[in-house]
Amino acid sequence: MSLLTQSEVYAEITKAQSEGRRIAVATIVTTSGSTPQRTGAKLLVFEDGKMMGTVGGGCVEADVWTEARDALTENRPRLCRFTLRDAPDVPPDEEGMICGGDMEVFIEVWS
Amino acid sequence: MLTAAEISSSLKRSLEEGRSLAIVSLLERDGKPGLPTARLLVEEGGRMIGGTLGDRALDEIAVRHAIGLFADEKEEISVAKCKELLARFVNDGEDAFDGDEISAYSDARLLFEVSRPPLELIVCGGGHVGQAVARAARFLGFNVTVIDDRADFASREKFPDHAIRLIADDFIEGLRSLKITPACHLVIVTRGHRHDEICLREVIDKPARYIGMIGSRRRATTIREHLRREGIGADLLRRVHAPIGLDIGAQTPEEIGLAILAEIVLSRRGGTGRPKSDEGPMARAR
Repeated sequence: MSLLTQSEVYAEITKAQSEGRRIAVATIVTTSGSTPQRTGAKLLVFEDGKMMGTVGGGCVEADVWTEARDALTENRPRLCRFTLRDAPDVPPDEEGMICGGDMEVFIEVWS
Repeated sequence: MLTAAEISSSLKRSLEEGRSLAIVSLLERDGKPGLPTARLLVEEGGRMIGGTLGDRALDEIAVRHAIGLFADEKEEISVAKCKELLARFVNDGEDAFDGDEISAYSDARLLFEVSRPPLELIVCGGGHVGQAVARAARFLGFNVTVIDDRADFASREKFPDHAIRLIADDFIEGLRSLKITPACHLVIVTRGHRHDEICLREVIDKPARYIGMIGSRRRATTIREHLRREGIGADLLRRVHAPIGLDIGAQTPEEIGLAILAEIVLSRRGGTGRPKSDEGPMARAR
């Protein structure tokens, strides 16, 4: 899935609002280490759990999705920090496919 | 409080006019995200076109940082603490802000997201060099438009890539039919210096990001003097890259096209144009 542009994101929020639906927008704001995630990448999560865009896929995307659902329930924005490392002692380059590093995600609810 | 619809229409308007737009969000203050999220829209050039971060001084700081992001095309996103930005501005010798004024926001963290308009490249002249420039520009992701007053040059036969827009018309008419924005790069490579000069005169005061014209140094001097006598200021003349292209010893049309695009990349991204190896470890081998 390709990265959403800002124009696409705000058009989608506007559309959801006009239909009376709420939407959570998760944005990767910082990363460190060897994450495959790109800062600025956005994941849109709707009340029914559907998603649009991507923050890089994998297990992290599921975590972000869960946080976004919680943000929707609370109807509040949140800043979440994720550690993308199963075994913190192992340097990232020895983990093969598993990504290492930290990232910070901002989640905002538009209603 | 900006609505999504307002942000959406501002984005559309700015990008259509060829100007970048920064959406600045107040991520957190006192360790907490605000409710609702405060936002400010800053357009390329530094104009605030909507919203506020909740404080005038903070908005001013955001504008200064956004201007730096617009200039540095590598940066699409940036997160910064208010007090760090402030310290940097003071370091850079810019007139300091009143520290008290923003102390309530000094730990605020801001998110800057820059949207840029698609890159446009307009080639005047569909000859061998124009064809090579158009191909090289497509390779680099530009939207390309070619103008030539000869219909058999502004043709699909010469430009088989259907994504290249062709205008077979008088150069002046062709240029006037286009909106020349700050996202535009103009490459003037017509079949003769007379047409080159006509094209340059037409675009020299337009807000294009890059204007380059082919020709020898002598030819460039002649044209400069013509335009100067017509009252065109030195500021406008100095923007023009003429003779066009980076000096890589280019000879064939393809090499010249590469040299021109290399100069355009250099002007966008910054750099020295020198081989990286000049000062590298291999050069210092003993």
